[in-house]
Amino acid sequence: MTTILVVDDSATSRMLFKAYMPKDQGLEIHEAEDAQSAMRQARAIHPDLVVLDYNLPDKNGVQIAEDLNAEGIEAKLVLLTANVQKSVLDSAKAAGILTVVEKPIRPEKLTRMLEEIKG
Amino acid sequence: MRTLTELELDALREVANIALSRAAVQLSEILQEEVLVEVLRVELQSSAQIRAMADEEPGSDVVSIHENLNGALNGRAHLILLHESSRELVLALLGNVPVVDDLDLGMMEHEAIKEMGNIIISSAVARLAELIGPIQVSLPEFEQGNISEVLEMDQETAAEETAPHIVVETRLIAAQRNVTGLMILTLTVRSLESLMQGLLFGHEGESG
Repeated sequence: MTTILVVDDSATSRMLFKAYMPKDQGLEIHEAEDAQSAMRQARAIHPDLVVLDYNLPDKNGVQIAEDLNAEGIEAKLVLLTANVQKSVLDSAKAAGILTVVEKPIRPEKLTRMLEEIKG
Repeated sequence: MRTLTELELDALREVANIALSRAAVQLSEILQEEVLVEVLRVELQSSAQIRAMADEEPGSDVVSIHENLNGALNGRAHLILLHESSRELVLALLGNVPVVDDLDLGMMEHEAIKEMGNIIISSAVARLAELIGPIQVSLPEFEQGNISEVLEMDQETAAEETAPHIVVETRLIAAQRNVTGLMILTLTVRSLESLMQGLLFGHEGESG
């Protein structure tokens, strides 16, 4: 079982993420809509993978990645955003985010993401 | 009031084309069809003129998603869609997701349109940032009404009644689905310098 935490303030994005993730790989998907909820859930479920939107109400996705690292929560990290400015990508890399998936969410992008993080 | 030179007008049209082309790619991915881009106008206008212009528009029911821009560019990006177009987009975004079948589409519509607008605006802004440097975008805001209402300036901008803004109006067209959207950028004149500099000389930090 792989536990995934998807952090996005858009209910649409979270729904699409869950709908498009492969159904045959034993994935357990949890949701959070802001940084506070993300940290609370991450402490409770110890996810294997955290998928972060960038623009969130309280903190951005890279800041959440930094908070997860600071607390020693050892999850693989992915950024899922349409905001693919170089400054964002650079800060994501510096925070240990493994890969960036550009929105809109499509099934093939999520399959590729899973392959990338396994590799 | 200051006027734009031919070179500045041409540069702004080019910048709008570059930014919207990226947004068109994202919209095309959502709709699964070709999306065309047109730059309708580039003008320097005061806040009062922008409102007056909006008042002249027909009172069609539109939805708008806007995000404030700060950093290398300062201003606001609006994506404005006729209500029918917004519904087409929601269907395109969500229509093939099985779990949606049982849901009331209307309940999802505002939220889905907001997210779709965020994707399109963020894509255009990311392209602009490659030219001129980092641009912070606010969370998307959804509005519904006539064009005059959705273009209403925020309080801070309204206070600068005489301050001119660069208005860049563009249109995205997906003909097969009869979807048309306007993207309107209202930028401070200070942003013009960054844009001209970025277009002519590039921005080292964001290139590549």
